[in-house]
Amino acid sequence: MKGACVKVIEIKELYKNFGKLEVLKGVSLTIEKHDAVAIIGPSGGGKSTLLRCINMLEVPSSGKVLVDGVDMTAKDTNIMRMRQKCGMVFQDFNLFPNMTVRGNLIYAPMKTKNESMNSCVDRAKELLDKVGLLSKLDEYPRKLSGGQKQRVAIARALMMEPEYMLFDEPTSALDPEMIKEVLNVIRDLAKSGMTMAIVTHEMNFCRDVSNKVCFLDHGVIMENSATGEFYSNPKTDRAKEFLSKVM
Amino acid sequence: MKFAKILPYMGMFQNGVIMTLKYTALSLVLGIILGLLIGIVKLSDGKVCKIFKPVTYAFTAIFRGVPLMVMLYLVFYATPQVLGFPLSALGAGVAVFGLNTAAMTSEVFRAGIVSVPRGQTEAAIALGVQKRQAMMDIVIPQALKSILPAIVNESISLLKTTSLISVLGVADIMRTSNLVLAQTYTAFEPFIFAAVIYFILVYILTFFANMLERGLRKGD
Repeated sequence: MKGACVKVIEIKELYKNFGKLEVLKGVSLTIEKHDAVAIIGPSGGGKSTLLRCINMLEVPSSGKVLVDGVDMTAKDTNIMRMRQKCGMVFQDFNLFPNMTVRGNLIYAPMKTKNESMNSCVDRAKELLDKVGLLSKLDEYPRKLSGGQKQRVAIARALMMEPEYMLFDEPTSALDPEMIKEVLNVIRDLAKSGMTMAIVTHEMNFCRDVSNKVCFLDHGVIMENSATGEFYSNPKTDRAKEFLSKVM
Repeated sequence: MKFAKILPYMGMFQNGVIMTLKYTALSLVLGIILGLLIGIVKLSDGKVCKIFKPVTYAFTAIFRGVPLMVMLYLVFYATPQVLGFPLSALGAGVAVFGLNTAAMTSEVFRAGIVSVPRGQTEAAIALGVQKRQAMMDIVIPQALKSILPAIVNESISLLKTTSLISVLGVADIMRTSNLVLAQTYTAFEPFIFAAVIYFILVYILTFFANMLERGLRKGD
């Protein structure tokens, strides 16, 4: 895997302001194929904003985001097409309550890729089976537990057969008991070689699953290194302080 | 009490009911479609919509501020003077009632759409779905559920408001009662009868609205 360093996402000198509030101050980060990059750091440090800038849910104030070499900030880029390569999982699931699990899964591929209902449903079943929820195919989201909702949300994202996944604090809204079932799904995905960026507060999981850690504080990347190195030998005092508090 | 006196006029009342329902239905269709469109324009940040935004707020403000009776007279009697050709009572009535309903429901639609969490749209566009498409498939169906009671209220209010059309000589329920008064020299019976008819119509409308609401709530 290490030989071929295909850059999937390149973030260059990214700035993002909300009014006078500077959330990202010149962030640069490269994510290569099969990378599982954990973005960690204290709350309010800009982690989610950074993730949301990758698929333009937030429009950067300046700087560039390249996905497969395509400039996401350029005016003539077909953002919708580019987003189809990206699977995003949110903190509060955001399943569509007016559709069943099946409806949630087949909605986007049918609308955007003109896929037939049958092939979509087949894939939906396959993916639900993978996340252990095939029996919930015809349930409405309100009948599911938090952990089940998040697993459905992951399956929904996978329906688009994305090249890479963005996880925005996927377990922060879950009961402790349900965190594991969701993390296991993400772990399996990482093992299968899916390129991903994960914003998380789960330190053990991060250590276990990611191969790179990006430590973000006050809108600046304080540290960006291989996971083992980050945990055993953090370079900055800020990272040391953070780790001593959370580990 | 001599209700027997109004019995010969039942055919007229029947036509009156049909007339009232006709004005209500047409105005409601116009009002809801236009109201939804205006509600969306009020929320949109698209370039074209931005130009129309002040217009939509002015539109709502005008219909809020001017009594419908005045509007009816303006459209039916005053506009022809400017345009140079007469308007039918049906045209004037449906225009005034429909636009009024649109002005009121646009606010309802706007509020309903705003009440759907942002994450719903974000989840859809993150999947590569167009924002407009997400609006139609995800946001509006959820908004409808929460605003249905308000829309029903607006429809009921509209049904009763159409009685104003009697001032233009349209033989709706109200006008029919007036005609019966003139012919039988009794006021109590025809107007009580009109009140009962309006009450029953509203009752039926509410019944169907409740059924519709139960159907929409299936998902939650």
